[in-house]
Amino acid sequence: MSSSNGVMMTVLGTPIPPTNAPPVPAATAKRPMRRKAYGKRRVNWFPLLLLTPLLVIMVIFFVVPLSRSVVISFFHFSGPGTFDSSQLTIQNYKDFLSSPFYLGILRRTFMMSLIVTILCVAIGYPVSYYMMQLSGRKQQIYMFCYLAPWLINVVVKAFGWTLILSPAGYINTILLNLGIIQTPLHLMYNDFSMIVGLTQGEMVFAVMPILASLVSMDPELRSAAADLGASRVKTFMRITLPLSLPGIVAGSVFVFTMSMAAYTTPALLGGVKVRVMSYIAYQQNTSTLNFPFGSAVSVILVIFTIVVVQVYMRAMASGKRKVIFR
Amino acid sequence: MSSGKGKSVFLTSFNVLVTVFMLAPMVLVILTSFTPGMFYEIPTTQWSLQWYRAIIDVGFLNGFVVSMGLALLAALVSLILGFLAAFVMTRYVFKGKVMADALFMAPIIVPAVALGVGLLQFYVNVGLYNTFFALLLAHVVITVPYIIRTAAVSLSAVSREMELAAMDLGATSRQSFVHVTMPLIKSGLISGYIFAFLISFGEVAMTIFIIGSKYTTLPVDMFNYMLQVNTPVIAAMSTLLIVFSIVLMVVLDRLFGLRTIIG
Repeated sequence: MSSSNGVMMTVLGTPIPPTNAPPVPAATAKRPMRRKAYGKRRVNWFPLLLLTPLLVIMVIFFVVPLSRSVVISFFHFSGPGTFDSSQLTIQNYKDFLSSPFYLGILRRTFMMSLIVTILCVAIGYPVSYYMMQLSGRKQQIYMFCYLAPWLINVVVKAFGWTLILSPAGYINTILLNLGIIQTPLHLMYNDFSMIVGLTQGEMVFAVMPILASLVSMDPELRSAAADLGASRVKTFMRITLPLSLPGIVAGSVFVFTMSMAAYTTPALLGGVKVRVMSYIAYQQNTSTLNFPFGSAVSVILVIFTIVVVQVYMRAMASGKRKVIFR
Repeated sequence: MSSGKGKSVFLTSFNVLVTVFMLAPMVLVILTSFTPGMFYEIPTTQWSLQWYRAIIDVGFLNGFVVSMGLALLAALVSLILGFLAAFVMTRYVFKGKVMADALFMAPIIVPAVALGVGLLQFYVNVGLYNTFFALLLAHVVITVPYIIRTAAVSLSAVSREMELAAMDLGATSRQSFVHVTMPLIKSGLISGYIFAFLISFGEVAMTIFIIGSKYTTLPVDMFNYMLQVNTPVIAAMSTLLIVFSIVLMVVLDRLFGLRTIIG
């Protein structure tokens, strides 16, 4: 059971260490290779040789572009697609941080991500709790319902929400026909539609880690608490919830990070008035080709996200201690 | 305690609602795609396949070919390189292993936008922009973590004792690998490949930065189409994609068990 959860967590890349597949212990892994097929000298080179192609690709197409863009953010803009690398400047950051327009977009992105994260955890927890109690085939099918939206294209999902939420969409049509409303509700191209779309799209990233933490919990603990006279609410509050906290933390960090960087869903569901950080990064880099400022936007987005996640994880760590050792 | 397991009516009905919320967009897209008219509505009396015919006129076929080629190739390159990396990661201990692992997993954590910005600037400045090669390598980078994870899981599930037993019986380490290890991890590798394919096939956020005028992928085509015109042809194309993804997911399930690969 626990190993299959490990797989799940690792595939989703949640940053919980114990879920990684444990490597074969060093000594036993190395010895036979040396003894049987390879000479002593080849042993050190063989693994490196196998790793080299991927390492080269990762350095050229991942490390270099990312570090370059950080460096470029400290250069002056000197025309579309070019920059003046003769001197360093923090002007791009100043421009961003002194503009109410850009700060407003950062604030909007943050608020949106916060709401989406809270919704995903608040809805995802009961879903995981329910999923945990299902058995075998049923659990598999139910999980499929949550995984399917993830592996189905974002554009398709956003389009589905357009059908539901737009002025002539299904919700408005039904409500108008029933006579509940006289004019169509504004459900589309605003914060609401964006949050709905992101919540549905990222739900799976809250559900999976929470489910993993619930399943790995010893069910005896719950029955022990019940045997000792704890009510169901108390058992949940003192046993289940604290022990599933790692799953909640992992899930919320994942959802928050993804929402902060989301581009497609906000672009399709948020419309022209509602813009987020990714959109600004896109616009600066592809329309005006202002690489230095575009880089700065991307760097600010990443650093802001990291800071929020760190503060949150610290707070959760100390909060957890308080809950358990109360 | 009315039900011992605590499956309350409230919890069940809540879950039914959430499931509807999760699946409604897809179900409605499929139903709408058969509309006979110009508008988005669920056909009641008359069903039509006209919007499926329109897919070709709109030019989505081009994007589909690019996306297919890109995803098939990127997943293949990822599979080969990722498998080698996973093999080294699970079988050897070496200096810098933790760093290498962090590097290979990083594309999952780094926001797609940040990578898109970096790659766009890099490609423009080195002259790789608007090439298929540029798209391919970018997709290898974002799919490789998924391959490494699934391959590492499969590899660590093969007990080292089995390989050693084969070698004690006289097999070379290469023979033991081909005849013992490979058959055991085969389904894991195929699953990893399909998984990487799906990730690449659906990627928009990073791809939209580096996409040139020459090669556009299907999701990016659809994205742009949705921002400009809006006809039910999108519903027809989306339905095909939904069916395609679900078929692949079922294959994954049969092959490896979705439970084991993802849950």
